[in-house]
Parts: sequence; structure tokens; C-alpha cells
Amino acid sequence: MTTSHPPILDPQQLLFERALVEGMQDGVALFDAHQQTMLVNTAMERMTGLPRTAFDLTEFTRLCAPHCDVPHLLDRALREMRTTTLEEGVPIARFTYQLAITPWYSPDGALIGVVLVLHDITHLQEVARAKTEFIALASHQLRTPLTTINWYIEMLCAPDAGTLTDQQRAYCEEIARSSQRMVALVNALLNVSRIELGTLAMETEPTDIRAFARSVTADLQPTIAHKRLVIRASYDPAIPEIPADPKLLRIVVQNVVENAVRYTPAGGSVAIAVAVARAGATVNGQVVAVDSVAMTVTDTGCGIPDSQRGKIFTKLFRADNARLLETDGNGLGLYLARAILDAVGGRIWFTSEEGKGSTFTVTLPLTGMQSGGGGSSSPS
Amino acid sequence: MTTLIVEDEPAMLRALTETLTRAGFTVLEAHNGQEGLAVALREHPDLILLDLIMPVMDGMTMLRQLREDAWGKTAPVIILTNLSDAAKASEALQHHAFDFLVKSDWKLEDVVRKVRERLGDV
Repeated sequence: MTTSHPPILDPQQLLFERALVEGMQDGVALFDAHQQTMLVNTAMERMTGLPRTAFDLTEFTRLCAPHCDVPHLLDRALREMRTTTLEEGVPIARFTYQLAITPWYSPDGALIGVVLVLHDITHLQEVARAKTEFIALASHQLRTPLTTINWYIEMLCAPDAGTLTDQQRAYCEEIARSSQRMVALVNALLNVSRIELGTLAMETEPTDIRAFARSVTADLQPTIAHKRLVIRASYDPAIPEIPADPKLLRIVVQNVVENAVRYTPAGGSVAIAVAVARAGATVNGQVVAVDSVAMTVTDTGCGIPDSQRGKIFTKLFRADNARLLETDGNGLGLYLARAILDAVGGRIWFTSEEGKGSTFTVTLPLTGMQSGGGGSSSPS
Repeated sequence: MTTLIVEDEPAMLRALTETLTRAGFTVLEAHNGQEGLAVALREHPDLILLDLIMPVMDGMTMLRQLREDAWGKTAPVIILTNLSDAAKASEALQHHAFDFLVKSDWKLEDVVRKVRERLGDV
């Protein structure tokens, strides 16, 4: 293996640069335009277990191969002429590293080489995992006192416990409502932690998405009646059953329909349509990539402000107008729906106009939910 | 009809016992899996409501040991827990538990309905 020198550095500059790179905690390797190794620091040797005399791109690629396609990432960095980072992390030995590839150009724009940097994110990942495990554990523990509160309120309101005055009953109902809201929050947090820990089990069975839309709408009937909302349901009779996990599908359908009902003012309307969308068809402003079942929910609610559209699927985020209108949301519903759909190869998107309403579309491929998902977060 | 409730939390045990008694069932109580197994094998209740996380012996261990007994092999069991773990649920169903209910999602009256449904007494 030959080690070439970059044409723009004089020997003294080179010594200086080498000292700088050597002192870094991140693993650094430098290759010339012909992918010959120019420089490898001690941190890189330690991280990869490859001595610098034997360090080349082929060896490095092989080391990362089960989890990361280094040549693909390199091509992308060269094509886009900027740093390309693999955020998910590359596991090497017992550690996890973030890998960044940066093309290196001379002042006149000619490619001199590429810089490869490994940054240790093992500790970050451990902390994130510990946090998620803590939430899971705390949520389970919270359920015990919540169950006791719910059950004793139920007993208090039952005729056997004696008659409550109307005022006492109203107080009890207020306690019950808050307690049930807490149960819903705990359940949502548990689902979030399962998704983040990757322990969300998926068990598919032939499933009719229309049945879920119907049952969720039926559950919301008290609110629908109270707000005098008009519900327009249009279910294509030709929709086949598709392999899906009922628990996961329910979370998705429930969050989308519930939001429409929650954020539509009294007297408004909510339209729920379930139909087959063929590959190439445009639904709610977007082209469907594969043959899918599409559920589209249109409301005449408060809409999503332009400036906050990018954040609507972010964990714990709630739009300002939604926050004003309904104080009891938890900012987890759409995050969960999106996370589930990402994981199973489905999609969710929306169009919206503030003050007029929103339209959300959820699609699942006709082939059903897939474990491993459609990889919408993978680098393209 | 006799139901055995195996539950370590006194407040929940009391709520379940009072509710099922009012609904016309004879109720037996146990505070952990070991006690539950002894009462079940001695009294042969018509149905067992079983919690999972308990001291001395947890519910899943009790269920496994119950299934080794000639009578216990087919004794009706409903898991009633706050642990909503898919792995635990599928293990319970493998051991022929009739259902797996998450307590915080269930009202007492719905638990009673479920018990009646299992006993064919709707």
C-alpha cells in the first residue's frame, strides 16, 4: 500500500495537521482521490482494531458491512459534495459509532480525497435506552394506583354504596374523567417506549380497516353527539382484508379519527373514507407508491398553522391553536401513529388550512404490514 | 359459582371481592401465587382471576404449576394484571388462559361481564 501526500501541503503543514488529528478523540482516516490511505489516527486504530499499516477502505467496509453500506455512503458524499452522516450508528465490537464521510476539495474545486470520522455514541444510546426503560417501568407502576382510583369511583357511583347527591356525583365524574385521561397517557407513554426500545411485537392477521374506523367512530359517539358533529363515512365495499396487527392499526386509526373529532368545533363535520389506492394514484396531494388501502379523514376543524406543519409528528408537540382549543391532548398521538406506520411500511400525511380544517391520509400496502417497515428513514 | 381471586394489592383484592360477591359469586381470596395454587387445588373453583406480579410466587409460575395438575390442567383462568407485555400475554395464552385483561383499561362491571361470559352464564 502506498501512502501519498496531498499536493497542497508542505511538509511542515503536514506535521502540524498530523499532530492535530492524532490528538482527537474521534477516529479519523484520510484517503486520497484514488482511495489510498493517507492518514489514520490512534483513535481510529483503537475503534476498528485495524492497525494503521493494514487500514484500507476495503477492510473498513468489511468491518461495517453487516450494518452499513460504506461504498454507498461514500458515493453519496461525493455526489452531493458534502458531509454524509449515518445517524443510526455502526456497531463495532461492543461500541456504537456515528460515521461521517466528508469529501475534501482543493481551493480550485478538485477532489483531493475523503475524510472518514467515527464518533463514539455508545454512551448516548445507553442513556436514551435507560430513559425509555424508566418510562416503561414508571408507567406500569402508575397503573396500580390508577386502577384503584378508577375501581373505587365506580363502586362509589354504584347503587350499592348508597345514593350520591347530584353534586357529589358530578365531582366523582370529574375525578373519573381525569383518572381515565391519566390511564390514556400512561398507555401512550408505554407504546412510545415500546417503539423506542424496539419491543413492539407485531402479530398480523387478516384485518378489515373499515371495521376499525367504524368501531373507533362508535367509541367517540358521546363526543360526536355532544358537539352535534356530522360524520360522513364512505367505505369502499371492495376493500380486501390485509395482514395487519389489530393493536397497532387501532392506535393509528384511533389517533387520526379522534383528532378530527376533538379539533372540529360544534356543528362541524368529519368525513372518513376508506378506499383502495392504486400505485401512481394521487391521494390528498401525494402520489401513492404501491397498491394500498387508504383511509382519509377530513375535518372542518381548526387546521394546522403553516409555521407548525413540520413539527406535527414530533413527540409531545402540539400546535398552538390545538393547545388553546383542547387542553387535554398529550402530543403523543400523531407521533405514535407515524412511528408505527414507519415501522410497518405504511405512510401518513396531511393537508391543512388554518381555520378551515385538515385532511389526514393513512396508507397501508395491500400486501399488509411488514416488519422492518418500508424504511422511510433509510438514506436514499 | 365460585371464583378465586389471586391478587397481592389489598385495595384491588377488596374491590374485586366486593363486586363479585354482589354479583352473586362465592369468592375465595389468595395473596400470592403459592397461596393461590394451594387454594385452587384444594377448592377447585369454577374460575381463577390471576394477577401476574406478586411476591413469593408470581402468577405465571402459578399458572404453569396449575397446568401440571390433573384438575388444574383445564381450570378456567383469566389473567388480570397491569403488565401489558406482549410476551407475557402470549405465554399466558399458550397455557390456555381464557383472556388477558389490563386492569387499568377495565371497569369492574366489564370484569364481571367477562367472568360471566367465561362461565357461560351471560
